[in-house]
Amino acid sequence: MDLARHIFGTGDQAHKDWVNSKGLNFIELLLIQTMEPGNKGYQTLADLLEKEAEKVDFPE
Amino acid sequence: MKKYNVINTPVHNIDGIAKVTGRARYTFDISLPHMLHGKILRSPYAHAKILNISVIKAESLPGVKAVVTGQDTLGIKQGIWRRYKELCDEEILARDKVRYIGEPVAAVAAIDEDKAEEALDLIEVEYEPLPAVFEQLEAIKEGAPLIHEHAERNINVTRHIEWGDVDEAFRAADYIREDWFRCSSQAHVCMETHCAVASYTPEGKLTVYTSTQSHYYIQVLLAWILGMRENDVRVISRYTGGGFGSKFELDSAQFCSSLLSMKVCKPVKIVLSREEEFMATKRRTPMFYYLRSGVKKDGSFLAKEARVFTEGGAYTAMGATALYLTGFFQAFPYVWPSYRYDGYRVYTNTAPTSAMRGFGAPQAIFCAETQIDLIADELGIDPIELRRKNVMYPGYEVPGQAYIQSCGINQCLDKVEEWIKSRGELPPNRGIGIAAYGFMSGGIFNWFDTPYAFSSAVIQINIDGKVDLYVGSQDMGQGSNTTMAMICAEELGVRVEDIRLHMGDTENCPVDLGAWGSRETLMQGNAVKMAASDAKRQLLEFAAAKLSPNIVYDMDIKDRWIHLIARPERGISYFDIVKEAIRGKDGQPIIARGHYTPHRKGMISPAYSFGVQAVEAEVDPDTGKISLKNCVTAHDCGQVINPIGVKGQLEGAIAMAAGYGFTEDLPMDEGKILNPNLVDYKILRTTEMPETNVFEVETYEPEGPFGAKEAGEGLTNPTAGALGNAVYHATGVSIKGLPITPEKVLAALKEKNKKKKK
Repeated sequence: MDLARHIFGTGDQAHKDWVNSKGLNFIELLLIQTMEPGNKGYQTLADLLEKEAEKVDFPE
Repeated sequence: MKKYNVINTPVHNIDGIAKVTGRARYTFDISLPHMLHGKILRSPYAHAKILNISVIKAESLPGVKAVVTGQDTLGIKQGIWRRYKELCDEEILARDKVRYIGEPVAAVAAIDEDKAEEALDLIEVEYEPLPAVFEQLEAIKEGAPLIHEHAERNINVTRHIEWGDVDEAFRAADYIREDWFRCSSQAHVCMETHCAVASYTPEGKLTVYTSTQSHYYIQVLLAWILGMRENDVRVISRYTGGGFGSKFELDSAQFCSSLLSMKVCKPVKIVLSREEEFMATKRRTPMFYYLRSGVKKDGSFLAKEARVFTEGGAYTAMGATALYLTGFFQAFPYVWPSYRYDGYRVYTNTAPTSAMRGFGAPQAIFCAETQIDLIADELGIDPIELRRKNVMYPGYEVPGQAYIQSCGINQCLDKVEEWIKSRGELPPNRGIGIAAYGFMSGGIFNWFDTPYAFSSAVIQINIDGKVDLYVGSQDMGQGSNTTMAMICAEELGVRVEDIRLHMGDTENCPVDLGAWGSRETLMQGNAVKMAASDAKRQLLEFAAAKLSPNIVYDMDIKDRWIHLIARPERGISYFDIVKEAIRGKDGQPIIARGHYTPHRKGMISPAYSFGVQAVEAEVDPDTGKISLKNCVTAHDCGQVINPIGVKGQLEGAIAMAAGYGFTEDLPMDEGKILNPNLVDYKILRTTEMPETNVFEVETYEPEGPFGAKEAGEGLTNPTAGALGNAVYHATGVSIKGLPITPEKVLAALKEKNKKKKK
């Protein structure tokens, strides 16, 4: 969740492009965050970040 | 023995006599040899491409000396947020596209104003009008006209603040309330409109006399946009006739006069008309606010959720800061165990919105305090008790955001409660409303990316004991010159009349970031105190050699008397030691320096003022007209430096904030402001001002000079909310849109009566 907040907080092109490349829409997530109750926009991105983190092989 | 000789004594403005006798020369008064007069041509369209500009006819008009357009610039997009290049989006003189009615497209310099005005009509601009959008909730929709190519859905900036588990806290709440609010715009209405006299010489040096809140910012921004070395640009601003947040960004008068002067190597003066001031300078940020609060039935606050869409206007300006601060101050001055804020600034084809006294906090406090009174009513809890149960306290940490060192809000509530009780039973149609607030004493942010200390000061003590104090701070009528002289005099142990203040000139004053965010007393004040302390230390070295006291004795200077603290009768005159010290330093005057930059002070500010305001208002049930009767403020600004200054700040704040609450508005039609004059734009007149009273609650702020905090912007925060609550208690209707006009009150009363009949 903290990383999701950071990504939305910077809002720069690199972060936007990464989010959009994963099948989500950065702006739509922002609007969901505002228009709907709960923390939906941020939670959706946080869930994605968790999934993506599992794919990365960290060196021993 | 009294604590201070100078601090907390009433001192009239040190430049007051110069101002009231007309000797103070404002930029408007400046006249230089061979000076030309400039005028600016502005876009009549809210959104259009510029296809072509022909200036041939204008240039040929006798008396016209220069004409410039965007093609004469370097095409640099500038902005205050220099660390974030994507937020530097304003060219000032448009090159390819205009984005609001009033945006500059050309400028003329001529032998007099009339000629310059005549020449404007001869400039031929070919526009291709584009679809425009004026309201933030429309601009964010799919398919809305795109105002800046890089900003998808016209979203300029977003901000998020969160702590605690908000959703869990709402589940635990006994009572949840949600409300929607609309906060309007507001014009600064400075007495002195934006103006500049720029003089460029063949040696490549530019001098700009201007009305500004930060000569340093203007120097750097001008150098950047003109492609010059910073210190080849000199900015002079000895007197500024009001700022209120409108004058620390680069404006069209400064830029166009500089460009014109560079073309002809002659001074050029541009003074914006009052109409231009309304239409084409920046204004308070309108906001669409959603608030949801969850509390326990005993009134304990549990969770708050805020969502805001701000109308950004055509450019970023300082709107990004207002977006963050409104979210931060939405939670002030209470302990909210969990909080979530999402803010969106949206570009629109209207004049840019930016900083204005309060910087997003008046909007936040209006919404928050209105909702709190409604919650109090529904729960059957006294509004003061509900607040008292939940206010901040010294030592409280706003999670991840701020640390509150000093906080006198409980004492403020006590004072206001006492006053309310003293009013007894009110006549019919009258009500008293309250609002609590807090505000920052300067910001810790360095989005300007300055390498300098945030504030600096230099002191020189001369042979006759006169103290030259050099500061970078800008007095725009708030009295910072007097405050700095008082701080210096107290720390150095001399009198205010011993201080000769130098400010307002980048060529010989140290850097200070300027008068915004209520920063001068704390930040410049700390720098001055440090410099004075160093000067005193140098004098005391010589005094110690002269008096040869026992090593255990400390020395100090009070009222020009250098003495042993334990034995004040043993001492020597300040004037004598100054002479000895200068002799001892090979004839050099005493020089001392001071500086201040906040380090590790959270996300917002090193210190916060607090307060509670009560407004007594009467509502005419037949017309909806509101009359202000009384306004009482209990204010914690730490240690008061100048009680006259605080009173002046308070009265001015009430006039501005009450205007925001119920008389001032900037209605627009397709992006055009409909009331760009002082007849139709309703600021409060003196006859409409209520009786005012201020109760000072003294606390001690460790971060501030002598324990002082701000007493400027914070005072504008509560009035709209207190006024709205006064109307609510007088009539039973709560108005959630600013300004609270008679029409809105009447409509709400009609609705209430209709519901009663049903």
